[in-house]
Amino acid sequence: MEVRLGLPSTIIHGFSNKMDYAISMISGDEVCFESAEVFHAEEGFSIALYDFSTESYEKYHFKKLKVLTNEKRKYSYQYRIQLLGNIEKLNAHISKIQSIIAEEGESDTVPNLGTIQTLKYKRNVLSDYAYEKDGILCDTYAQQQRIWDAIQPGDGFQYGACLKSLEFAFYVSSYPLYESICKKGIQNTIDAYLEQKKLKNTSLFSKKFTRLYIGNEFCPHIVMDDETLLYILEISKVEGFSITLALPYLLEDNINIMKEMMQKVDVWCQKNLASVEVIINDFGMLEVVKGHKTLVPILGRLLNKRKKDPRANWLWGTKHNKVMLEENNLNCEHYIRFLESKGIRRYEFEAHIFNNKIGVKNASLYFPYYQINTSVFCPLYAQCTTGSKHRQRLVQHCPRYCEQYVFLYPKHLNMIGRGNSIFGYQESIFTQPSYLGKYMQQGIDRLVYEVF
Amino acid sequence: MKIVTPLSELSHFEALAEAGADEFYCGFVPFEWLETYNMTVPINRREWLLSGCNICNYSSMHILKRMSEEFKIPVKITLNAHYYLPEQYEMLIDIIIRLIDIEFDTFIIADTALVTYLQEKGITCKIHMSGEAEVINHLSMSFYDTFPITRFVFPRKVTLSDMKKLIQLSASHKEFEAFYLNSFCQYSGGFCNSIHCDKFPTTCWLPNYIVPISEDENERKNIKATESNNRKAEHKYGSFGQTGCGICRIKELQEAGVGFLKVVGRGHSLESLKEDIIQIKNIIKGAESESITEVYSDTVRKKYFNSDCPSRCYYPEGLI
Repeated sequence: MEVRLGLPSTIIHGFSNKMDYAISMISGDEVCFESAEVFHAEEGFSIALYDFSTESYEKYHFKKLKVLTNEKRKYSYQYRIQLLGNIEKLNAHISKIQSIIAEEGESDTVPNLGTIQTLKYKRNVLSDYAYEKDGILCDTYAQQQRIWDAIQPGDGFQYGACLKSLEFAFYVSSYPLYESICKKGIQNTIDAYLEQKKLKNTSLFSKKFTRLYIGNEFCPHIVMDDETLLYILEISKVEGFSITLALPYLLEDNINIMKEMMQKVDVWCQKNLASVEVIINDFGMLEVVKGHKTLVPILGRLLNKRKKDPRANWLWGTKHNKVMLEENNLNCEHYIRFLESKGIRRYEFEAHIFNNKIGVKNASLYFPYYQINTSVFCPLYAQCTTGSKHRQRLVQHCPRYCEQYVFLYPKHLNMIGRGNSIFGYQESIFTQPSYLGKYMQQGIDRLVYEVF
Repeated sequence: MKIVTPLSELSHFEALAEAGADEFYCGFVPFEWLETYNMTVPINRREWLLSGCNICNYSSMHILKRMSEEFKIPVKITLNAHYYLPEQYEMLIDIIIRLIDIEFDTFIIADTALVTYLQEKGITCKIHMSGEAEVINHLSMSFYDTFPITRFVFPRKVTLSDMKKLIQLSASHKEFEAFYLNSFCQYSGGFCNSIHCDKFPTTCWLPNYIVPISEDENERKNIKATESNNRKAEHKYGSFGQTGCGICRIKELQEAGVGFLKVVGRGHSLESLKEDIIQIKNIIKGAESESITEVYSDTVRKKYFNSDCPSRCYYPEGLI
């Protein structure tokens, strides 16, 4: 059977000598391609074709070919050539691709791609991803939370020696928890939380928390006011907790608010001979903290970008390239030098679906939630005020719907939509002491327990 | 006001140029990149393997340059992945040098590490800071002062009044581009760590629903009931503006100092893009003959949507 295909240029490539070509059509032993210059047939012709089973390109070389037509156009030359030699393997490969591309009416395409014209493929031919599970969601928030709460660092898991050199930080990022700290203190808030989650007497939490992360990295409306912050700083002094201040992206209208806050924190630090870490999630914040010697800028999670989608394991190419998803620009010496020249002294990482290859000194690891998506215009606010997540606007006066509502996502993906962000849940710190051990060998010296 | 138009395939060039494209942006993923990294670590944010979002060979880039010169329409190259692997920066430098040799001199970049690397390697080129860099305040704009940034692309979800402030506070020789049509994302591009691929919808399009945290009704604020998905406004311009729209704010964008209007659509069909460009050209032309901003905004909304706008509005608030 003759196969006549026009494939996207990501899938099929033509080469001759040192030039590459876009193949517009392949049919039997005939190939059409466009060239910027005159093509020399004596150089032969190679074709690279994507193989979905190996997730790599297979190359076919033809020493001999015949130019059937050569049309000079305004900007290029259009060639139709005949490949001479054994084309059976190439044709078999093309047939395999054709069997993957669905015919009209048999496709099961990705929904909601907007108007992007993707080729339709037979979904289940290529993937062992359980698409049907995407339709199964918990009925209630309590149900979802119970699933996660059931994941416990059980008796069999001994973290003792492993925890010795780690600093433990407790991260509060919402008003109810700020209020709890103001009323009950930091240690009591931590104790009550661990008690409620039945984690208090576990080996993992035998280590004492000595640092408090406070604020919100994703939403400016949940960063506490200056008065609350200063009050909590006072409590931290009394209770002996170090402080890391979590701040999000910087809205233009918040610049002065942030400047005032940093000024007040600096004054407090000078008075108390203390320093406070400030999480930088927007490069503009570096300018805000500059000049305040008591404020130590550290690079936040919004600037430590990675593929953190729970489905990324099933992405074409991931099977063989998983290790690639362990690194990012923070593994580059030149970039670290640049960041250090801007005053960055620590880097924040998350436990997520892939390992992080840590290439820096002074690194923290957050668990059990990791950020996937964040929006400057809040989808939850839009949903609550208009009935549609799409009718978004910059929120001026936030009634904090995020304290009362969440978005649930497919159960098997372990995700939750909180406020303006989507988070994933990663359990390995709770269940695998060796997971934590490996990170410590790489330089993680602080564990940040983020609570919602 | 110039229309910045997506170019997915060479064969689209002439039709889009004739429709009114003033400038093109296109993704380029050479074979050596695809062979080594597939789309696992993509070169730009069009991460689909099966869609024709990117041009994938140098031969086509030579041809594209000829077209660009003939029509006198510049083409900018999109290299706006959030980050790259350490080994990829050297490969990127090779790619950029080869493209500069073909006389493409402008690159749309989101990764600060790539910007710093280009400077360190002494590569002379113009940089457009991609919307994916989420530069949303004048301090972060100043952060890039030491680099050859010639244009900032405002990310989605920057208000018109913020744009105006940022432009007023910026260096005078910079250009500014704003999202204008298609693909208003639920989340912010620069903060989106979800995958974009052929196999799955992005995370924001996964099935989801809102639920209360507490089961006690007395502890909750009242919220609006979820809008029906079946709402389909009938209007004669079909899908125009339905996935993201800022068309009625043309005069306010101009007043704010935006000179370039971004149409999203790499991978979209030629027909829909042509229609997008033709309509935007008409809107720009109309804006020149109407002096009152509010009147023109109303006219545009009425003409295209019978005053019943699509839900995904880029600029719900006007320029205050």
